[in-house]
Amino acid sequence: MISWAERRYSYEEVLSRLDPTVAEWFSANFSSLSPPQEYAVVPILEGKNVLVSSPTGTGKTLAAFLGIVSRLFSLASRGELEDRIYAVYVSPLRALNNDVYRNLEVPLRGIYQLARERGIEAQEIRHAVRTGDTPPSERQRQLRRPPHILITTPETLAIVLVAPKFRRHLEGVEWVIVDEIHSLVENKRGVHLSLSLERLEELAGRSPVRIGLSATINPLEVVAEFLVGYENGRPRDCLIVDARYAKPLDLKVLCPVDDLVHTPSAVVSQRMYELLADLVRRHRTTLIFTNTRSGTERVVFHLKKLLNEGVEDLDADESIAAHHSSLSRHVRHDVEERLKRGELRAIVSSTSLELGIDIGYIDLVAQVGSPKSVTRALQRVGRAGHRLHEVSKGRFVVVDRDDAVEVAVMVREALSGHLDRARIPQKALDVLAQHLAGMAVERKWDAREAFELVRRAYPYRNLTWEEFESVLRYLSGGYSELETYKVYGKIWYDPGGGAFGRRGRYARVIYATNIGTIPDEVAARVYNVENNRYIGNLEEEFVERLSPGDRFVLAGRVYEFVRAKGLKVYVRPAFDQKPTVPSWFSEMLPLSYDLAVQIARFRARIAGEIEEGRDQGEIVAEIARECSTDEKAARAIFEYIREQLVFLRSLGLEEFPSDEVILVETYLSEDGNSYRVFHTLVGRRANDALSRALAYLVGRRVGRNLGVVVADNGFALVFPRGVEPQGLLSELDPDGLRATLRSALANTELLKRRFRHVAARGLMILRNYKGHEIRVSRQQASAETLLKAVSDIEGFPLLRETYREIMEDFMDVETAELVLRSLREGRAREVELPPLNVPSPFSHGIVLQGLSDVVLMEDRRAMLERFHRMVLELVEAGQRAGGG
Amino acid sequence: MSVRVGEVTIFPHGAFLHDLGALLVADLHIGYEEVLLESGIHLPRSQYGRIKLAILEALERFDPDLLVLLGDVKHEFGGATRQEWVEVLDLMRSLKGSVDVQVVRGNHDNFLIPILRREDIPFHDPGVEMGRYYLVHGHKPLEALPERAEAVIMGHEHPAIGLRDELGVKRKFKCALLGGLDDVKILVLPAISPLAPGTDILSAPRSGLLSPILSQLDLGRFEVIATDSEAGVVRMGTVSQLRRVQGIPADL
Repeated sequence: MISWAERRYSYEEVLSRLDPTVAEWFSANFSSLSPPQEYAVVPILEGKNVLVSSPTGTGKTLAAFLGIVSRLFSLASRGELEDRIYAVYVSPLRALNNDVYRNLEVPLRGIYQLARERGIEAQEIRHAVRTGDTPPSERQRQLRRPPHILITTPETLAIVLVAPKFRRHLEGVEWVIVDEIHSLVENKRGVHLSLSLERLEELAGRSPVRIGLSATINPLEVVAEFLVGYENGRPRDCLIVDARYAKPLDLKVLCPVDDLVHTPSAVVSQRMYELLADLVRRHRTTLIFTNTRSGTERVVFHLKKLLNEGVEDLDADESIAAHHSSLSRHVRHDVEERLKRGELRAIVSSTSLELGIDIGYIDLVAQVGSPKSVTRALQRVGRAGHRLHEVSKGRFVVVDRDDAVEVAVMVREALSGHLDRARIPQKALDVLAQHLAGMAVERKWDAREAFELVRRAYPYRNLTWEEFESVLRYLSGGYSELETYKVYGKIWYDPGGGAFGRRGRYARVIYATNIGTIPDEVAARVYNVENNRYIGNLEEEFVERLSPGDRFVLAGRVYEFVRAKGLKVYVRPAFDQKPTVPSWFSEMLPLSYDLAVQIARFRARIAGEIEEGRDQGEIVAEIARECSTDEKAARAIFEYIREQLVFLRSLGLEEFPSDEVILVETYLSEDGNSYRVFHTLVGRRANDALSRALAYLVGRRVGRNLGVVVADNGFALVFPRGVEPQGLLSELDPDGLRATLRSALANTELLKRRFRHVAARGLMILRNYKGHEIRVSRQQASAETLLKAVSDIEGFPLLRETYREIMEDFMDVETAELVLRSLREGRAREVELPPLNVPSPFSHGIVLQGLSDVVLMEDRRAMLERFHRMVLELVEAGQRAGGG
Repeated sequence: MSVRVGEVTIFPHGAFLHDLGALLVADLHIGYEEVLLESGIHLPRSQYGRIKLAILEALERFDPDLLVLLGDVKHEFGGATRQEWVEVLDLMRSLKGSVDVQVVRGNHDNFLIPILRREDIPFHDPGVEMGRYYLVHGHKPLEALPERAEAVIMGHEHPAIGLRDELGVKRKFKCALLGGLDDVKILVLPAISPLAPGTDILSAPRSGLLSPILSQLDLGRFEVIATDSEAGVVRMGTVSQLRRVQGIPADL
């Protein structure tokens, strides 16, 4: 059963349960307990599974380790400590592992010193880090003398599960700590870990106490089930310690200029940098989050310039730094160390500093643009005030009107404790394939027994035998034309006898060198061909598909592709032109569903107040108060909503877009394409599903390929010149949505790319093979070719998983179905505007964004013939010119 | 699903020579899955069936007297274990029954020779003259052309075109190329192997071409005949015309 911790233990109660030496050490160093410690330490000592959720700096890690160290020290002082691993600590970050190692070193040293003073003799408690970076000599040492506390990553844990000798040290393991669990639950890395935990439990031969540590996340019940897994179809017991609001919040939305619409964008940017510089000046250390890596670099550049110009005694070059995943590990480490030593005044990051590595004292978190979800906003702001009772101070700087509305509502929701719901990927067959290959390396399995083990992991609790077996068949070389090709399988599987096991001498190596779920994207560096200046990174896959002359968006600007040389790409600026290639690989975070719905309601409510004739000043003041914005931001929001209202009323429309009214407008653009814009505030992931399904339905009717623009505040279908814009969401059948979407995904770049990722996770495409890293694989066969080769194999699990991942994880098909159902049942309705040659104010962001993808409908023959006609026209034009 | 140019009919998987009654297909690359496997890609074996079916359908349709396989029948990369040759043997035996088969040697066909000999199938290296045609695979430069040769027919290049529409979608189509070298015509056939999507000759620079015969030539004046198993066969115009329509610089 999942239950909430209600019993709060006093300082004395907790100490009385600890080993006396450990208790004495604790009381000498801490005069009080933090909330996580008050609630969690005793239950952990009692052997209960516990999930702790609280912001950074609230003593979570010590809450988890205190009881464990106490138990181990008791054993050590009695001379009963054995040479085996008692506790496994798993965190997603190597840097965090090193922090935890150090943070254990200090208390252990203190406790042993105290013990010596008291004349208590005790065996040494060993703790060690083991990751992909650990040198073989250290691994050998760990094999001979295993650490009592093993600090590791999800990937290395999965590897040690098959390490021939080292795995024996894990038998009898008593505690498992999963740190930063909030960063794992929503992705396949977490799914992967959930299976490792069940395999570890199997190996342990007992049920270790599971302890989960999380930053702010919601709903905790689901995260708890994810942590502890299922037994006999029901979640195992878990106690939730909810200390999410242990630190007070001070949040504010700031707008750098009076008028976001008419101020030139260069001026808006300049004012934004000045505003940030001002914040940096007034705080000791500011952590600034941007949403993109290129944004990070720009902010650093401008801050250095601005702060160097000032008269203050601040050496900006030395005290402002960037931190993002494109930087080398060495550079990042150096920045982290300077931050810890308090040498930095500002650090600018995209997402890399979201996680809880120890970064020392931060008194302000500033965010440029929207973090896109309430939970993420709170997680980021939670990095400020690194000690308990210190205020988490966050400032959100907005530079466009959509952001202003979004961030204002987000701050309001954050302050009132409304968090978005996390979603856990379900039944990922690619991750399952990886684990089954690993299990086969361990020993021979009864397939039914393995099936039951897998179903104990939360994401697989509803897995069917048929799904499970399809993965075994795939791994054993099934799905081939001839039975004889089973020789190429990674495992052997005997469906009759219901057993499977390892095949071939490479099985262990393949598993160990291809483990993990993060797709390896190879980044190409992009340079301006005119001055050789670095602009940013593009994925290699994207570059492969470019032809000279193609224009695309990079770092928010349009460039023309000139040529590529290896992993260097040369482009030329084409800022004033429209992109010709959809930006398939956008690194933008999607707006969450829960926040989107609140934005829809908020916009409609303010529009209603304006229409009722309430005083403008009053409404602006209300917005500022309710959403904690400055006056400029509140006025920008007010004006934005008022403009949309005036626009609609001038057309005689009596409705306003809301969570019940979906506005549909048709905008005929100057370039001949027309946009059909749907104002659906249901989160970008649901918009993605709705737009593609509708594009498929309509595209089939008109016989042409249609573009789609997927945005946070809605979506658009883009019709080429000469095709009449049409289509309504109410035409889509909610029950047929998944099938329609599946057809719409055929041949898309999205499908090809995701298939490659799934194929890599599912060990169909190996990244490492026979001792060498494989980079040539793409030259041997493109994702497109591979996809084509498996597309007519009935029930092929990796293809099935690709569609599932796209629909359920990347998109939000479930919410999209709900939207369609509410249209059918009259709880929402579409309201159509007549075609116009201007977009409504709320549409600007959508039509300016550029295509997200194209849904293919035109048949290949028609496309060939159209191009042939274009050639003929070219020839005729040439003849006319030649003749005249 | 085909286009006739003089005595040659081009269909999605190859060509039929009416004056000789000969069916030509190139670049089967049977067993390419093994190459993929060597580079860590584990694809279920399902390509051979598609290739065999395409050839059997063409035999049915054209009812030729002779079938010439223009090289790279088997994608070999190592030794010739029996396992790897099951499909090739199956193909040769099922074809021999209904038509005369001859093979022109490709760059991948070293271990094929003993099998052809055992099956009594004529094998030509580097090429064979038939009527006014000279048939080669295309991986070696053309040396002395036979006196009477009016046309060279080859494979090896796996030609294709990538077309991008106004919404930015790029789709790839296999194609045949028809052009000339002095007064000799050259016909390049598409690869029949489904796993060989081909070289995009519109955006590949000359140095990016596989065949030493083609990299010597200006492909701009070659005619492109799209050969797509789904869309059929369409005469598209010349390489340089297509490049202009696509906005690709001509001087690649």
